[in-house]
Order: sequence, then structure tokens, then C-alpha cells
Amino acid sequence: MSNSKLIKLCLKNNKKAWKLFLKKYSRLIYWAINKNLARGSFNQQQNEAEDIFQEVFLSILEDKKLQQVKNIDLLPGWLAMVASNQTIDYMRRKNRIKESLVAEFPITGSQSLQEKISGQDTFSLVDKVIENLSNKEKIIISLNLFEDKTHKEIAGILSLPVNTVSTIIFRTKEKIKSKIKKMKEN
Amino acid sequence: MENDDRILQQYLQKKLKSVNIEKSKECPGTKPLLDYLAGSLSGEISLELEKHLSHCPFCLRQISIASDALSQKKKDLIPVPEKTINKVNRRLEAYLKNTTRKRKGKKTKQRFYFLAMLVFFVLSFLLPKYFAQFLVGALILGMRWSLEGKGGQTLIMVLDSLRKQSQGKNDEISNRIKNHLEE
Repeated sequence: MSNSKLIKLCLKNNKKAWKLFLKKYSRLIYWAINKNLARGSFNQQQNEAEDIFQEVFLSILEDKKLQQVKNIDLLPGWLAMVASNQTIDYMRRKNRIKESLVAEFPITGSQSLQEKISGQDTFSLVDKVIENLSNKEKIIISLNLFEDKTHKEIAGILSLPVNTVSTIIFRTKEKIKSKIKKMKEN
Repeated sequence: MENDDRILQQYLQKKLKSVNIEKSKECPGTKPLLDYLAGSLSGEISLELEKHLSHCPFCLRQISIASDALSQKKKDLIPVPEKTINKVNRRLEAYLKNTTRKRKGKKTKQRFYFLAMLVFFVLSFLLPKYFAQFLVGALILGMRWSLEGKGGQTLIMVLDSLRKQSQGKNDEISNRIKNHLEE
């Protein structure tokens, strides 16, 4: 059965269609939930993933969310987004996502006050370098640094040549390094 | 690891702990993000979206995970524990049973109003003394019958939406009309 036919039958509350939908996409939804749990600043627990999975699936069913799917080819992407969204909501409700506004500078035994202060300056410097990038460059750096995306994956997302992405990442890192070096020399 | 790489790594660890992954009012929703991934947005809208993405970790996460999902191979995915699937299946069956019962109840109601309307209409001619009363009754029952149907409900939603100018309602209405026409 094609995906578009499956969705249409699901929207008509066809039992067989929903069972097939569950069989076809349960692993993807579960994967997306676990990926988000692993990324967050909390420990992953199987029970939580299972609870969230139930919530996600039932919200798709009961809120008729499948109506929102316009492009069937992008259905896996849409499902992953819904699962990701719900995971973040779930964890916020459980007060597990910590929103720390205080700069958390990693403390090692041998660090002096001078090193701690210069560390905070370094972080502000990195922030400034990234702030001065263009929007596209910021997205590239963020996807590389925060979402662990490879150059090839970023190029795919932004429809850019891989070389362009690599150049931007390399250039930005070099800029950060040279600014840190200058700061230390001063 | 070089010192500069170590600094970047520490920066990341700090940033990841402090970054606020939260949907804001400015966040565009799943459709524009998916369209952006598919490359089907116009240049201007794409640039607007990139401006948002450059400072929104929530939407960046959405795009990142959607992109992974679209390139995901089924064999790499771990199965959901069976007890969870069974739980979901039970909830699914209960929900569908309830929905079917509600729909049947609605159809029975509609048929009742239709038959009652016909009966009143016929009686209005058979009992000319009460012609006006039975005719008014037939009209009222006819209105109830049409309002119980999908067409009537859609009409109420259209009027309500025009009154309130709600975008969400407009989308729901266009989906209903589309589904209705496809049926």
C-alpha cells in the first residue's frame, strides 16, 4: 500500500491502516525520541522513551495530526519532528531540562582564578565570533558544533556544496583560534 | 587534543548546558521547516527562515532530526519493546471503537431528523387544520437534519472563522472541505 493511501485510510479511522502505520513507523518514532533524550542534559531511561512513544502515537491518532502532512515523501521527517517536539515537552513537564543562565566553566583542580576569568573571556570571544557570522554561516557552525552534523550532512540540509561547508567551518574555527591567540598575547 | 580544540570543546559543553531548547512564538512550525529541507521554499522565504534558524536552537534541532530521519535506514532502527506496542494497540482499538460508535450514533440521529421532517411535511397536507404548525415543525427538523450533517457543520465553522478571523480554524476548514471533496 502506498503511503498516501495509508494516510487517507488512517484519517478515515481504518483499523487495519492504523495497525500498518504503527508497524511501519514505530521504530522511526522510537528512534527520534531516544535521539532527543540522549541529546538532552538528562539520563536516558527506557521507561521514559516508552511513555513518550505512547504519547506521540496517541497524539497523532487522536488529534488527527496526519492531516498536517502535505508532502508524503517527507512523512518520516515530519514524524521525527513531532516525536522530537513531544519529547522536549515531556521532559520540560518533568522539569528535567535545566535552563542554566550561569556560565558553567569546567573547574579542574589546578585552575587558577586567572585561568577561570580568561576562560570566561574566551567563551565570550567565541560567542562574539559566531555572532558576527552571516545567518547561513551561523546555521552551518551550529549544526556542526551543537547537532554533531558532518560536513556532508550539513551540505545536504542547506543544499550547498560540501567544499563550501568545509571552508566555512574551517575558516570560523581558524578565526576563533587566532582571536584566542591574540587575546592571550595581550 | 590541541589547546584550541579543548577550548572549543569546553565552549560546546557549556553552551549545550545553557542553551534553551524551547519553541517560541516566532517558530514557523513543521511544514515550512520541511519545505526548507525539501528545497521548495522561495528565495525570500528561505532567507527569512534562515534568519530565524540562525538563533533558534529548537528549530535547528527539528531540522537536524528531520534530516536524519529522511536518510535513516530501517535496518539501523531498534524495535520498540513489545509491551509498549501492545499498550498502544489496546488504546488504538479502544479509541477507534469509541469513534465508530459516536459516528453511528450521529448517523442514526441524522436519519431520525430526516424521517421526522418527512413525516411532519406529509402530515401538514393530511391535516390541513394544522398545516402551518406541521410545516414549521418540518422546517425546524429539516434545519436540524442539515446542521447535523458535515455540510452544515462546515458552514457553521466557515461563518465562525470569518467572524473570528482565526488562521488555525481556516486551515481546519480547508482540510475538511478537501477531505469532503475527496470522498
